[in-house]
Amino acid sequence: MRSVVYFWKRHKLWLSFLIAFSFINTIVSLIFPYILKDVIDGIRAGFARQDLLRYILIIGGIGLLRAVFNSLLPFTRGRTNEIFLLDERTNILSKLLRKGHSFLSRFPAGDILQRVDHDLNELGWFSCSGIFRPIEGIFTLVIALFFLIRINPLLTLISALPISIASVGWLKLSPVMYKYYYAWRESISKANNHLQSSFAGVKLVKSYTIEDKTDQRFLDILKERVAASIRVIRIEALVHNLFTAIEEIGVILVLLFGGLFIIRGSLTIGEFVAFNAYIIILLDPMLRIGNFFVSKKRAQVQNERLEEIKNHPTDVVDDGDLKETKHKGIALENVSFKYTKNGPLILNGINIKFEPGQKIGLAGTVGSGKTTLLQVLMRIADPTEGRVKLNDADVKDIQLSQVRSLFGYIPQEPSLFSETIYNNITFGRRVDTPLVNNAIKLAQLEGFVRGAPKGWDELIGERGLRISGGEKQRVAIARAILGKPKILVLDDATSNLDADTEKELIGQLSQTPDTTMIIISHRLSVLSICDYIYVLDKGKIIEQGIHEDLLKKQELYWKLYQHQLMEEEFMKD
Amino acid sequence: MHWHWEDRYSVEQDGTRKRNWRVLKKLLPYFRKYSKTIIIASFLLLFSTLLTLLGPILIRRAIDVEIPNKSMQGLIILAVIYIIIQIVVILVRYFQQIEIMSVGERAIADLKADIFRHLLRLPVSYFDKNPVGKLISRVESDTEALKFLFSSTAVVLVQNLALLVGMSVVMIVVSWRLYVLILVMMPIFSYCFWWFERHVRPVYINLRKKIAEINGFIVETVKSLHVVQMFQQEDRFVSKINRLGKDKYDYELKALSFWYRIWFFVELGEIMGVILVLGIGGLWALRGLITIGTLYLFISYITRLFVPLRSLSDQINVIERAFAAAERAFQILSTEEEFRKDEKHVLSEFENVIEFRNLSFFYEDKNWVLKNLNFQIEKGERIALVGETGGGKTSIISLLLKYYSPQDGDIIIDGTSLTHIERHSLRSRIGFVPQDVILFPGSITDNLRLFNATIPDERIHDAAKRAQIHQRILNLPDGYDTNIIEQGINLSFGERQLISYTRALVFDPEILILDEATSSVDPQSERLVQQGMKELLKGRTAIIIAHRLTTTRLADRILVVHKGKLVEEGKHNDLIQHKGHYYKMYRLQYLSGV
Repeated sequence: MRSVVYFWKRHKLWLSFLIAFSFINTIVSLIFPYILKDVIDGIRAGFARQDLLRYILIIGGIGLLRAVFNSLLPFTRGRTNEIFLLDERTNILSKLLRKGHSFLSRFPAGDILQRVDHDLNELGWFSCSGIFRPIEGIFTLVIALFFLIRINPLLTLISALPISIASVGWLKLSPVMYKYYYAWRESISKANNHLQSSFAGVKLVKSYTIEDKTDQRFLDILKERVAASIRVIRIEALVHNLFTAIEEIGVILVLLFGGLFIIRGSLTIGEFVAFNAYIIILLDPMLRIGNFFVSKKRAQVQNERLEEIKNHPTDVVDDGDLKETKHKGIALENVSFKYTKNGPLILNGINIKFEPGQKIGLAGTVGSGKTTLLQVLMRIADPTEGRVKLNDADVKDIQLSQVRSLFGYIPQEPSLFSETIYNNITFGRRVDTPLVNNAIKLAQLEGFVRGAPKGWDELIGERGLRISGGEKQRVAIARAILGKPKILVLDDATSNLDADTEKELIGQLSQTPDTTMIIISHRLSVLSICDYIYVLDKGKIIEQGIHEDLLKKQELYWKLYQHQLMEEEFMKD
Repeated sequence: MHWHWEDRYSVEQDGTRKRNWRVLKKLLPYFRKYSKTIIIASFLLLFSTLLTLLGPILIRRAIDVEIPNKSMQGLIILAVIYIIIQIVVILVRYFQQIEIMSVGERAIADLKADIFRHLLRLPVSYFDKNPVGKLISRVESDTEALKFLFSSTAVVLVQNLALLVGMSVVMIVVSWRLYVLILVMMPIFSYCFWWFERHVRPVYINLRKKIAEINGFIVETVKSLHVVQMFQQEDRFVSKINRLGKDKYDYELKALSFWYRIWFFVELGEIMGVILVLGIGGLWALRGLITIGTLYLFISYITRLFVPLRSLSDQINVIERAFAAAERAFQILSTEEEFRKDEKHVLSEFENVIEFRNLSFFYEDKNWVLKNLNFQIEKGERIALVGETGGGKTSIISLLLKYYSPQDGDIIIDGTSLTHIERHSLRSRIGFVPQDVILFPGSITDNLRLFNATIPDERIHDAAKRAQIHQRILNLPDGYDTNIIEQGINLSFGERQLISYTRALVFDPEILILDEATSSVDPQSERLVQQGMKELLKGRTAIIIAHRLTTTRLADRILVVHKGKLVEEGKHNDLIQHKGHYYKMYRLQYLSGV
């Protein structure tokens, strides 16, 4: 559990403080029966009132101290858990933010959340509370035994023996319990699977009129589940009561032998009372130590699940040190790409050069590799073979931030965040208001912003204003053009706008003479403004040229164009 | 994986007390069935709790009587009594725990079954509005919270009450003076708990909101990872999660500081009790008003009294959540079932014709999906519905299956309006093969006969042979008994499709509704699936939502549905020659094959 070890390595002072604190707290908590012994023996001996008063004051003082310590300790433990959580959550996210494709395809968002939320919380509890509770248990055991032996070693041996045996028994019992727990959990997931299928397939259930059968089936599964739970309940009740019994054996032994010793004169009544108090305390720490092994196993699994997402390789390594702020042309040279070693080639020997100010179109069927091409170009992924060159330097040798700041990227799915419209557009950059206004105007968002109740301070997303797909895309466009990028990348970024708006908007955007534009659009007519168009099929460039020429050839580009025309015509009436 | 914002946001403010009563009232019938067990178990619980009070009394006697008298015999008798008491207590406890927890388990299983049964009978539109994950947590997690309330909280409450009363009685009898001292502290305690409950709740509500915000932020970030990277906002996102985390930390600390106070107070109470007893009781003991044994008894009772108080304070938050969860679960039970008034006609056989007359329909959003649709299907006819996605094909079959009711027009089967036909008799005549293959946890056989044990194995095997999936099933580890989900068997898309067809063949319906899957498979499986479909269509009246041209060729008549209207109908060749919508679609499909 590297993260936990690392955490305590950084907080060594705090660690030693907590250990010392736990130790002192245990002494303070356990000293009480020892004092009680003196009081009772004192009362029996008929000591003076002042003596009683003195003891009461001592007990009061210690009691107050104990109250403070006993509540402060869980407080500090809880606080430390939270500090660990806070650090580790931030740490994990900072790692996540550097991951690439292979990570996203391996872990769905829900799974990541489950790990960062549930698993991390449990690990957070273990990081301090989980470790210190058994440590405290050990202290309690040692100190209680110390007092017991001080009072009477022989009686200690007689009465504490069964408890020690019991704790060994606990270690043997826990794997058996685990088996029952496992079966029980299986029966729960079976019930959940049935719920899942029945609800997802509710139309099927209704059409086959098997509502009754499905109920009956659920009842059967529940019956199994109840049986499995009752088995767990039984074993838990057995263990619980067995341990109570063992504790009581200690009490009886103290009663018998303690009584005998008193009669023989080798034990006082005060000592007898104190013994009774200590013997009851002994069992709990043993259980705590036993529980530690169970919770450690659980924490290990959770830790592994977190390490798995933390240590997943980042696809793109940022170790270039060249600085390139200028864009004199960026080129794909013989670029091939596949996601996995044995997977199919997504890109196959691509050669394209993007000159400053050029407007380049990419076309091709779904899955032909257009988006992947863009991602390799922007260094979201590195090519499996070949190179991406910026001004004659391999982009791998250039600082990643330098490469990426050349681009203004507008993805297929506009990524908006649950923040204000303004924050979604400026996206962490400090920009003057006129520039923001200009971007809004260019992206044709003026009407939308004016229409929002609070203007651009209106919240959007999950808990804010519901906005349409076209509006989302325009916000993403405004965000991209705000940074005045040298290369503007539109990955089918206008699909939710109507044809006329799309044409007008892209026409507007292409007015900036120095900006390179790379356009993928579902509507090929938009590409007529492009200086050059590449047509991809199965990762290869199979046609290139300008719009009109490509249409004249009557091959793939033409087919795609016809297809789209027909689709439009079809949807018109 | 499912996570629900709305659940975490459900902020419960006023009227909680009223709500808690409402929930309890609804819960009561589920436990009434087990009232005998509950009464016996409660009695046993009281009995064993009271018995445990005897321990300190025996030790008191040892201290005050047997030991001073140096009576070893007396001591042994006490020890024997103690042993007997403990054996009884432990045995009683053991059975009582098992009984009461089992009742909780069973009663909650009954509740789960009821909610499930009710859910399955709700209209399909309810499932449109509520995602599967949410429904599962209604049936599962919300009822589990209730179980906890019964088998843990209620037990602790009863036990504590018994302890409180029992100890009071013993203490009054043994020494009423000392008892009065302890009684003084009680009002202070009640006030303290009341104060705590009031102040800690808003903190927890804020905390839950913050956690939801953090989770939402993580999901958004993961989903937009590349955008964040391209705009080089990684550092800002790290500092934002850190800031949100710090906010959460602050709330946690605030909650902890409340807990700190309550822990401190409970500790302080205990120590105050001990000091009072030891100080004043000690003085009385010195004067001979009480014995040392009595002193011991009081001190051990006081420490015992504070153990349950501690656990009670732990449960305050849990109780709150359990009631909120229970209310959500019960809300389902009061949602209305599918409307079935006027359904007087039982459809025993489909004889002639299904007529769709002036059919118009919209969903909740009130956009017309079907507009004035008219057509008929004769018995034995095979109809293919074609048209673009969202054009209304699925709505037509949903209306025929009575999943929804049309706003206007009617569907008439053999002269009887669908409104009057009893829905089960209607659906039993129809076999529906949905787009997605639904598999239940259970064996292949279970899945093919849908848990209907009256269907003999031969019929299932015969159907599987006809769909040409029999051999593949036999090759699975346990053949027809293979549990697909639990054994993690990977069936190909085509195989799943064939299982779905076999299921329909087993039920052998008069009318078949088939929603063809859109995803394409390799040519080999494609051929098998097509063959299976042909087998399935044999001798049946059929409506197929077709996505493939090869499928439309199986139909006697093709209906082209476009934007909620029937725009063309006829045979494939005629429609091609007509050069209308169908022709355009045909061309489109041809072109997309490039």
